[in-house]
Amino acid sequence: MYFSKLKSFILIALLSCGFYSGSALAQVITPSLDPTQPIAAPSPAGWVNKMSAGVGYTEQSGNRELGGIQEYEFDTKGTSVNLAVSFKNFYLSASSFAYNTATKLNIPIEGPYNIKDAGSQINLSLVGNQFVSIGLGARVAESTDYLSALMPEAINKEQSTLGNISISVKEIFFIGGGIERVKRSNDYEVQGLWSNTSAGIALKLGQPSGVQFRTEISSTTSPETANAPKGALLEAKHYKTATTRYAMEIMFSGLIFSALKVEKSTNEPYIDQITLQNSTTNNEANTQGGVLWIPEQGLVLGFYFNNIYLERDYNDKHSSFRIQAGYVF
Amino acid sequence: MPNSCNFVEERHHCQPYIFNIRLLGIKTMKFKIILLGIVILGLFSAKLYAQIVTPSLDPAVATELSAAISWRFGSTIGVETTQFQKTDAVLRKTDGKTVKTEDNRSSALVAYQPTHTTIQLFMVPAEKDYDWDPSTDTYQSFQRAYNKASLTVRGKNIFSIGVGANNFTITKNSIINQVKSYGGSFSVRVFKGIFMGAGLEKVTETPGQLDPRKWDKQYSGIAFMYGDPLSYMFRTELSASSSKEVKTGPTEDEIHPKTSYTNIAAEALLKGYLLTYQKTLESVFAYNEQGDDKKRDMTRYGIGMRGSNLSYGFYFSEGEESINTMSRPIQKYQLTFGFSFI
Repeated sequence: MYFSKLKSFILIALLSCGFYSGSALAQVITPSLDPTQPIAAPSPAGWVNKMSAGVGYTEQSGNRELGGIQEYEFDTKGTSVNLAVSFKNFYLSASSFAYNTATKLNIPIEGPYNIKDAGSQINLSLVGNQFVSIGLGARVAESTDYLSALMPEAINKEQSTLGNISISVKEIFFIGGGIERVKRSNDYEVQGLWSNTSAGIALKLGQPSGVQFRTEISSTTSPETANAPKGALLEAKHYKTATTRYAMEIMFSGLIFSALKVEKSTNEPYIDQITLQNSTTNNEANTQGGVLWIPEQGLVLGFYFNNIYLERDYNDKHSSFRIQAGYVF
Repeated sequence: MPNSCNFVEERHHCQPYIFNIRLLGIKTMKFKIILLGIVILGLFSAKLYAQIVTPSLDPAVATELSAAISWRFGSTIGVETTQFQKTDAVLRKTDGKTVKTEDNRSSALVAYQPTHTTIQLFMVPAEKDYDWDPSTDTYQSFQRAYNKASLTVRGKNIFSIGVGANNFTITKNSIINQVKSYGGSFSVRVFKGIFMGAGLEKVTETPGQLDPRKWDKQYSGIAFMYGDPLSYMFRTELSASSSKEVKTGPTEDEIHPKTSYTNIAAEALLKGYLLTYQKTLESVFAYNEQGDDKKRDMTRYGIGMRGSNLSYGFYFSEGEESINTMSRPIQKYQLTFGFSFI
């Protein structure tokens, strides 16, 4: 029972990284019109036509309810930074984030929760004839979690390498896809391995000096994998996941209105603590809106707000607000 | 007359944000009364003058929403002093007694607008005010200090995006209530003179040594502002802000009540002469059926002068604060002085 909870929590903890980087997750084929946003997949970096640096400060609050009773209150603060530069037709982007969460326990139960998350990613892409962008990337993430009184600070590390491609049709339509190979390691499991496969389609209209519109729909799936236990180390299991992202942005005269929704489901079996029945319900939804000023050159300023909902036998609700500043060179 | 003055960018007084003060777990009735008093007072008198979408035509007045400061006309150094008079409450009238409480405050404003970027710093070092308890018709003094910083960028004179941070400290009977907030806002200018704006503020309140609690405050508004601040100019604004009820526990001290605030303002600059009118209605809604909504209804009139560099204004406000059938009148006098660089 303990190990089952442990595995469940590892999954949740890793998913929480996705919560924080929701805007980046929506850039699988094309980059955001906000050049200060981190780019999750490498090839979109190739379509970035501005060198930029950005920094964001986020505050997020939320709670967890089980059976109508509020168990936890979460209070998260963190920063993110991003840099994008170009050398002829090579494009390099790098990003990093760090978030710390303070948790208040409202009822006397023992249970896992996240303490802090941090991660970095670097992408390198090559663009050919404004037709195709091929990218490679590497990502590291570390999550520190409270699991029990015996494991008050368990550390999970993820390392992944990414490769993907996006193709431009008349610089209006974009299609593409890629793969990410992920390794997960900690002190109590064998190394976990799995692959995330992504595909998407995007539409981008307009010119930088005028009205621009971008929309992108993409999907990422990963199969269930299991790595056998070895010695004192537990089996490492990754459950099947499916993620869909919808992004829409409109920019006129440098003003961007951004909307994003990320939905993710995980096929993880568990026993519902309320009904005591087997269940696989594990759905996340992250809705984001943002308003920013992006000049041709100069100071970038704006903000994003998110509402995040996690549905399991318990429900997590978070709302966050991020101030984003940067500079376009 | 510079043509660049055909868009707006001035400003009104500063208006710290509505916030509550309430302490969790206070055991004695006395403390509960104190705390609730702080809450209500915090909700009401933290608010000064609302400039949510556009700035006042008086450059010495700060704006509430960051995005509005982009529409100022240049940099300003301003000071303001306010004298309150809270005269006898209705309850007192029945026994023939008159209670007059007075307090005052001063504030300083610096707005720097080198190009399309604007920075505003606003500070009230110490403001003394009184909390009215309608059940006993008594007043109790408290002190409040606050600081506000805003940064905005204006894009092509048609929109503005701003971020801001605020810090309030309210001290009453040696209990310190800390309220911090930050937020973002934007406003869009269409047809040269119509402005629409909205914003969100995240508020964290830490009452004494107790656990902090959080809530969001939303702003929205529409305004019309057109003309030249050195000649003829007109401004009118309709704006609102609100926060939802937030419960962090079962007791009344652990509830942030639902609040709302509406503002109508009209100002005119006629060859340097400033005329202003403003109507505000603030409400703190009861959080149970036994409670009563608390309202403050204020009307403000102002006259002043605005030159190319120097400006000053005189304002008179009157209105009342009411709970159920009880009310008390409020009067307020203000002076502003500003030095601007258009």
